[in-house]
Amino acid sequence: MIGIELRGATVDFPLVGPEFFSFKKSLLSHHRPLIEHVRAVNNVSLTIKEGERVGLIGANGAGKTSLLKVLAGIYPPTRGKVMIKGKVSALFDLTTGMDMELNGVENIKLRLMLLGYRGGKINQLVEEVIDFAELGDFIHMPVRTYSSGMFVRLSFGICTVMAPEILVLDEFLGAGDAAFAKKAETKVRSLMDSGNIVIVSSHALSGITAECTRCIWIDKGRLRASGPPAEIVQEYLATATAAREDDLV
Amino acid sequence: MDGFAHTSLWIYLGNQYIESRFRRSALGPLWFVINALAFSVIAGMIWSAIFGTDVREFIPMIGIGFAIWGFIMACFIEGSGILATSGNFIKQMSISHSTLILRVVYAQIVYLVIGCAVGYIASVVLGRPTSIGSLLFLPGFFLVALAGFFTATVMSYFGARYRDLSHGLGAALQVLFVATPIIYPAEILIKKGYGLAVYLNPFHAWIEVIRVPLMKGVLADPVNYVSLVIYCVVAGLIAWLQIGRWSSKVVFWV
Repeated sequence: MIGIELRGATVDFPLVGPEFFSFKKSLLSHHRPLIEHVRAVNNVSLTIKEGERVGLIGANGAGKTSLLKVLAGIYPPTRGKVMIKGKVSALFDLTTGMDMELNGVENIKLRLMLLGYRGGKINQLVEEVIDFAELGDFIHMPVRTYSSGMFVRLSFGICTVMAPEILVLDEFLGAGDAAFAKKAETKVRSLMDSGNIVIVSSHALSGITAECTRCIWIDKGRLRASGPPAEIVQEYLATATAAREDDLV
Repeated sequence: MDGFAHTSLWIYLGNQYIESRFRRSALGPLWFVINALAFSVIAGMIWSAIFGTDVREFIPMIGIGFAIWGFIMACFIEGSGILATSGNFIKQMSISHSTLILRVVYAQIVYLVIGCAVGYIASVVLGRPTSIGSLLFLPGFFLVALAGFFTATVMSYFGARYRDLSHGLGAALQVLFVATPIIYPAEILIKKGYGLAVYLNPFHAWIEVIRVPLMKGVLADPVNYVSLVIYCVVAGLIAWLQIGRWSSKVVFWV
């Protein structure tokens, strides 16, 4: 049974400057530096069940990415509990998790290894990713030579090839062209259809209304609302518009 | 420490790490062998002339000593960068820190083996008798590898917390290089009354437990093994404390 449960999950992100990382300064100063924290995720409790497609919305800096990183098991909560059942595959910014000096094929292998695949299964999956990404001869070039569109194709291909039980996507489609967007959509849908959990953050609200079964609205790190996408998106838009009118006045 | 559960993973990563180092050279890892050989032959000839000792003894001594010193340095300096420079992975997926550490330590162990083999083969070529006793390097080698792993673990957390550490380390290690009997025999210092500097230097043991069996076919002075075990226990304890305090914070630092 796959699923994610958060109970009062809170993430305090330390805001530390260069002096925090200086051994010399830590030795020389007598008082411990006061570390300020930003509460990126504030007391969030939620349960995501098998087959749910969750859309995460919120203003810039509201904590969408931080919450996604908690859901993907990357950020340990400062307080609260996080339970993740299922194999997670996450796609945040495009180049993370890639070694720039390695070529496409080597990067695919590397990621698959890190995700726990071994032996012959890897070779089979590598072929699938190559087919999906359609990068031609570029697949044998170091990834530092890639355009952002190529990165999207490769990263997305890697993240989805192993049919993850929980797929976490952070604003992923920005750089792809129309043909790739179509392909990616089909891929995500097939994952959804096989009962896996898909969690996306997006500013493309119409996409969320159309594709998701649930929408979560994050505001200043808190879970502001959760429910049917159409309702939540409407509420969100109304607030955003109101805020903008306030600004204009 | 769940990195140990994925042995094939860090071996693969380690091999890739080695490969990526030699990516832009046609000779590849052979460079490493040539480098080690050239250094030990030239340095061995010069130092044996200075000390007036047998060059056939000095070339392998310096070759093996230098290989072990390279391992020590890498555990400290490369170690301090392991987590600090792995933000790319740490922020993208939930990956255990020990996997990243083992990858680097494994690669350094491969270098260490190559370096020691070069020194040993040089000694055979130069006509030193081979002996089954050389295999007595194995327990020492195991202890050195373990000490290296603990060192790299401790340094990786310190390095993630304190970014200016590697500069200071470089300077400190340079002093230690001079103070450790690597390119000169320990007896010289001991005879002149600086024995304490040898016995209190933990890195002397790292050198001895591998070099003495390889060259003389006997175990090193037992005190060296004790010293290494103590080192491992202390470093392991520090690592354990660091993991408790810092491991959940690293992802926010890198």
